Amino acid sequence: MIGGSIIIQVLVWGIILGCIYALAASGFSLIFGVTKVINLAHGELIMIGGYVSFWLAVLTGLNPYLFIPLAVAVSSVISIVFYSLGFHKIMGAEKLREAFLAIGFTYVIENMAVLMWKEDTRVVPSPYRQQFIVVGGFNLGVDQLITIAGTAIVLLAFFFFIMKTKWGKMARAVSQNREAAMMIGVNVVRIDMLTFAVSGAMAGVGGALLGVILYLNPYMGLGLTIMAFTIVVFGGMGSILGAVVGAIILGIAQQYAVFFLGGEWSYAVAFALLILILVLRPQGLFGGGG
Amino acid sequence: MLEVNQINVFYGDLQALWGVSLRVEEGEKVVLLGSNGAGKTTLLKTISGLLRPKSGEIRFFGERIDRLPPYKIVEKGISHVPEGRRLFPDMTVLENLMLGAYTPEAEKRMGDMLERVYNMFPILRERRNQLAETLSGGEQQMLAIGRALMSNPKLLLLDEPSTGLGPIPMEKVLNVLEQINKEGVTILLVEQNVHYALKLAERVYLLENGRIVASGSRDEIVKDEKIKKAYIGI
Ligand SMILES: Nc1ncnc2c1ncn2[C@@H]1O[C@H](COP(=O)(O)OP(=O)(O)OP(=O)(O)O)[C@@H](O)[C@H]1O
Ligand SMILES: [Mg+2]
Repeated sequence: MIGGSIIIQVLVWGIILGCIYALAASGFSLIFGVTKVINLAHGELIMIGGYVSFWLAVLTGLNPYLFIPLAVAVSSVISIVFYSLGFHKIMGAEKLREAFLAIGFTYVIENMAVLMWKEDTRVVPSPYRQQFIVVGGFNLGVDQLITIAGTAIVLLAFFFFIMKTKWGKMARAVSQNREAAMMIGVNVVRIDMLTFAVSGAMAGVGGALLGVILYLNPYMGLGLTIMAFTIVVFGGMGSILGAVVGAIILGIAQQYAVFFLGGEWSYAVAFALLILILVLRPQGLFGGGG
Repeated sequence: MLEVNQINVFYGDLQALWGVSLRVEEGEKVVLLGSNGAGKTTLLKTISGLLRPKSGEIRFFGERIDRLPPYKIVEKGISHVPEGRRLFPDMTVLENLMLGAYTPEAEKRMGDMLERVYNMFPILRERRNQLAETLSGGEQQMLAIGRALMSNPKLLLLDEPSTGLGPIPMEKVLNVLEQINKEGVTILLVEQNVHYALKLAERVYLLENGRIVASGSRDEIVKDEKIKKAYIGI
């Protein structure tokens, strides 16, 4: 018999994985919504964010959470570089060129990571590693709690930015009608760049949190990109809320699959759910219209 | 105020405008007439920087603007009410209006501009917290014009505001354009509907197949045989 508490424990793992996915997918979705670029290099920013925090924590021996702002800065700057040197130059051209550009960026970043940190699997050293809080009869790791709280804070700040600030409104305007936004004086190049910066920042947070609760590896970026893409299609292209909800659902589904069926089922279950939703609701969970 | 000199504009290999020249003086109400596919939208988009002419130049108060990005052109004082309104459907009326005033100069005067637009279109004040997509066609056109006015333009470009509007809302739009013009805003209106065009126009240009084929004061144009045949149907 599998006890009820272990079921809940797996649910918590699912939510935690979902948090990382939500940080990855909402940025991926934002870039797609505003610029229509499918940024297949997005996962690399998460990997880099994780390594920045790992590296600085090991180097200084300080609490790795202190370095989240630096992980954010580095991932955000690299994301801006992706845009300025890459996607900006070919925007509006056919999607295949974007894909190849992104694959190029992926290899460059991966190789840089291998050069700097080797191919070994790493875990960001957290001082809270063995600390647990007992909530309602099951153990919640302090690091897991930090991941959930950190994700919630970042997502709330992100929603506030998108819905309430002038820059967020301009980004939404560009996503709803780029040409009309240009006509009323929105500097769309600046908005595109801001979009990449914000997405990169969220990826940086995601990486720094992921490095503590999971592990890092220079080749992990592509898998995260694929998950982010899957989640965005699952949740509905262009819907940020869809990306967040989709992330949590797929995170939970994957963890249950791993627990009951084994690790090799993790992606199979995610894609089975994707296919299911595409059959039942082609526009995705929260996608509008057609 | 606005001088378009001999511009040639292409979509890929396809030429849409052929040596088009046009002038608009400060304070005028100029109408550009032309049938479907004549190139009216292309001309307005080129003026507001969404398209680049392959050759020729566009000047605004003597300064070349044909190489500037669209937001710079808005900052210089040209605002464009696009064909088919093109509102931001998932945002409220107020958000749509505010988005029109995020250029550095306009932002400082956002409150005044908002008041001006609300006084012009009281319905927009009532509907300010409603999503733009839920407005009626006439209200949407008012919002599109209001949004363009928020940047406090010197020259307002309008692309077929009559599309999808019945005669009564369109009369209202024409009245508002008269009023805006009296307040000092120059108007360049694109229309297919001769009836509306001649109501507003002081001067008219006629565009056919990407070329200006006639121009003149309203009265000259009304007498022009070509125009009579093609548009007025006498
Ligand atoms: N994006 C585009 N790509 C290729 N050709 C285009 C494009 N937009 C317009 N055209 C062509 O350029 C010509 C002029 O089009 P334009 O939209 O400027 O005409 P218009 O006078 O505004 O017509 P309407 O009254 O129907 O709005 C047409 O032949 C049209 O097919
Ligand atoms: Mg047109």
